[in-house]
Amino acid sequence: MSSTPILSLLVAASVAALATTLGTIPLSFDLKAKRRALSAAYSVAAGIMIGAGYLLTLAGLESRPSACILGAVLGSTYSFWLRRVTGSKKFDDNDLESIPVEPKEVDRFLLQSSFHSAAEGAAIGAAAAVALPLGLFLAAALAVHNIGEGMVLTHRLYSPQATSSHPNAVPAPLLWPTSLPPAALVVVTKLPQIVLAMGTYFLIQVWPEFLPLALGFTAGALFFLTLTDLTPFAYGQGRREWVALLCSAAAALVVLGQSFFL
Amino acid sequence: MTAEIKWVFLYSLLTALATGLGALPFAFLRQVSTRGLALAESLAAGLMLGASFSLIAEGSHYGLTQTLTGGAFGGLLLLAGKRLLDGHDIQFGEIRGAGARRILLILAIMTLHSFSEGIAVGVSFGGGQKLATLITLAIAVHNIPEGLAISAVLRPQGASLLACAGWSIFSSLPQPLMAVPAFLFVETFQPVLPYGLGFAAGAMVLMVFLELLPEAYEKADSENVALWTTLALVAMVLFQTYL
Repeated sequence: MSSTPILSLLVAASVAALATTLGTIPLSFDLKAKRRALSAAYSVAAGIMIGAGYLLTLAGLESRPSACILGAVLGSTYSFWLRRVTGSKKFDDNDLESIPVEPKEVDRFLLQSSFHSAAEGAAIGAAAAVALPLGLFLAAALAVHNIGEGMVLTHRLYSPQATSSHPNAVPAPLLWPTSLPPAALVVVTKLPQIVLAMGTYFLIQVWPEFLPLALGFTAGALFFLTLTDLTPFAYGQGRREWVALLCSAAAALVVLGQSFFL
Repeated sequence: MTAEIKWVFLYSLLTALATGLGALPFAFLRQVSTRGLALAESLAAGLMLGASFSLIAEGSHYGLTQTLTGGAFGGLLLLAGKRLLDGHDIQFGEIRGAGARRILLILAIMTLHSFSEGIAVGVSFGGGQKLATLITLAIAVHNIPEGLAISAVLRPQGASLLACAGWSIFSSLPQPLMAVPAFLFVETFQPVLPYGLGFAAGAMVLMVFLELLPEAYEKADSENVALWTTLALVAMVLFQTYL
């Protein structure tokens, strides 16, 4: 196994995770502008994920269709089950004004963000196993998406509204260090992205026969997460027409890269 | 030659009639709850996304750029159509308002996309009877979930089972109409095929994100919508891979 692709993948996955910190920089946007920007960012991210999911499915179907399809069913149902078990449904409120997260729920909120990152990481790893440029592209796309995610995490946990109604907006959670500044806290939730990117990549290198199953699994999880986390939030902040246009255009651009990536 | 033309027409008519079978699962559905409506919309969204995937994959064999160019036109035309309908009080039989608009849009898309499928059947006859039979059978079978997608939008709005089957078949009627000229003038029609396939895919994707998904999110939890949409998408891919 050559070290160059591993190093490239590690750097790309880490940059994608660290990009989340850019979203924590306090900028004096008014809420309307912030909503529009977030809606656009989430729509583009959703399109990229769907386009990437299409490419992963295509690669899996070419390799072993039955394993790929089984993987997609497992990936989506597993992600559904995980959300149910962790009780993260209550954070599905897609109105940016309906912050803050209840202090006692901070653990769960951050846990949900970590699961989201884990699925994204697995997608980067599987994509890189198919073709390194596809993995690097997906990591770059997720880096852009992570900036928006950092903004939302910070807004819901640290905004003035949150701290005024809950003086200890991020108080004594059981799992998460309390005194962490926003940038550090969001990076912690993004660590699974790096770990899963590398883990999935290594798993496929060691057991290449799992590639179609892994491709299907990550595609299924990616579709599910896109439709449960990204698109509802994008609709919540912006106009349908723009969400539909941006999402479709972003997906088409990724598909256009098919001849380059695969 | 006349006998061959007759076969092309009959084969493609068969594919159109198969679309009506998609209404059958709704024979057992009398009343639709809000949750059921969201489920039907999620199902239609997943089936249409899966169909778009197949259309793009098929179109990319002829030319990816042409397919995506067609997709851009399809998406923009759908958006223009929606804007046009938004300002008017739309009526579809007994159904009025947003439901009627959604039905008109989905019927328009599905009917337009049948033109490309008709061309595909006609062009495939140029490759011999065996290939044509295979392609016809494949298109006939994949028309069934398309009929299901149409019925999933019509039935919850109160359309009868017969109307669901009838409109599903109607949406596929361009197939026999286009198959014959495509067979007779293969070389003229083949270059148009990727644009047509892309056009249909673009319009379907826009329909999903503009109408079906946001409506479904308003009626059910996002995780249920996401699960049903993803599973329907996977089922469509499974269907089109193996049948």
